[in-house]
Amino acid sequence: MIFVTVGTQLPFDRLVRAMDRWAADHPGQEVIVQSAEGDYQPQHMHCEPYMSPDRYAEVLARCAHMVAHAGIGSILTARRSGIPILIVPRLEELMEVRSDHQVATANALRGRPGIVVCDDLASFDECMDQLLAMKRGPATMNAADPSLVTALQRFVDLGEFPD
Amino acid sequence: MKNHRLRVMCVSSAGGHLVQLKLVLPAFAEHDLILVSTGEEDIEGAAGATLYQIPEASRWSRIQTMLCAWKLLWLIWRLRPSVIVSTGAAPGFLAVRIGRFFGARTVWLDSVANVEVISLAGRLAQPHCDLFLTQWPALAVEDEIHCAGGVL
Repeated sequence: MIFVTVGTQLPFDRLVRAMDRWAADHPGQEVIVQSAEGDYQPQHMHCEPYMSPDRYAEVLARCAHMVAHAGIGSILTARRSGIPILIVPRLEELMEVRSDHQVATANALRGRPGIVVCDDLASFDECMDQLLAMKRGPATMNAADPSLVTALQRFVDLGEFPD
Repeated sequence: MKNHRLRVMCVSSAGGHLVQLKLVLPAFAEHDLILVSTGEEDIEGAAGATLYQIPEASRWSRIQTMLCAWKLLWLIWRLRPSVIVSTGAAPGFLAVRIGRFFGARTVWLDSVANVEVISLAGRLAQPHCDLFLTQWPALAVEDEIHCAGGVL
């Protein structure tokens, strides 16, 4: 099963529409989308505007691949669960988000294992092929760099930043 | 100050900002932790923290932002945290601003999503922060913006 999520703050119809078109061409694939109430109504995949934490966990446990906006929450969730993820950055010029930070995030993550970046939906099908060729890996603990935790700890405990 | 329990208030919007904030909570394990956010999300990874919900704020909604500021003002006035830590966005800026006024030390950890420039909320918060961190070494500025690693 492929889990599509656009986060909880804003809809992302451009991605949902591309995914619906892909699902129409691949009727054997089960697709579940969390859509944050966009205008576009998907015809070829199961759609839920929002998910409870329990439902989210259930879908994550069952899916083999994720497709998402380039939001940090979605990316960290995929990494923690060992799920290969295709990310499509939201664009400011299309009013999908309030700045182009997702483009910068996607560029910074390009080439990392388990991540496919799709900047242009014209290449969506090829990106999906790349994604589906990846296998779900073991779950890992997300953790901040120990150096960051230590720096924050020292600052709170001692009021200093080692630099 | 070592071995002295402090009240640490961590504030962020829901979603990715909160996910990142939760990942650095182990840094405050020795202290009394207050976690303030805008959504009713699962609190996995926030065990032991006292939780408060605040309204969402953004530069796009003046009324929401005022409600958020009021709630933060009330919480900070009542709880008097020694330290305020935020990953953003607008609610974090408000918390840093109000916290500083009440004498708290303030820490900003800019979101890992901000790769090329510091976030807008971060830039607004920076003059009111005692420690300002980016997660990308390229954005560090000597003595002003530090980088000690990230969550990604």
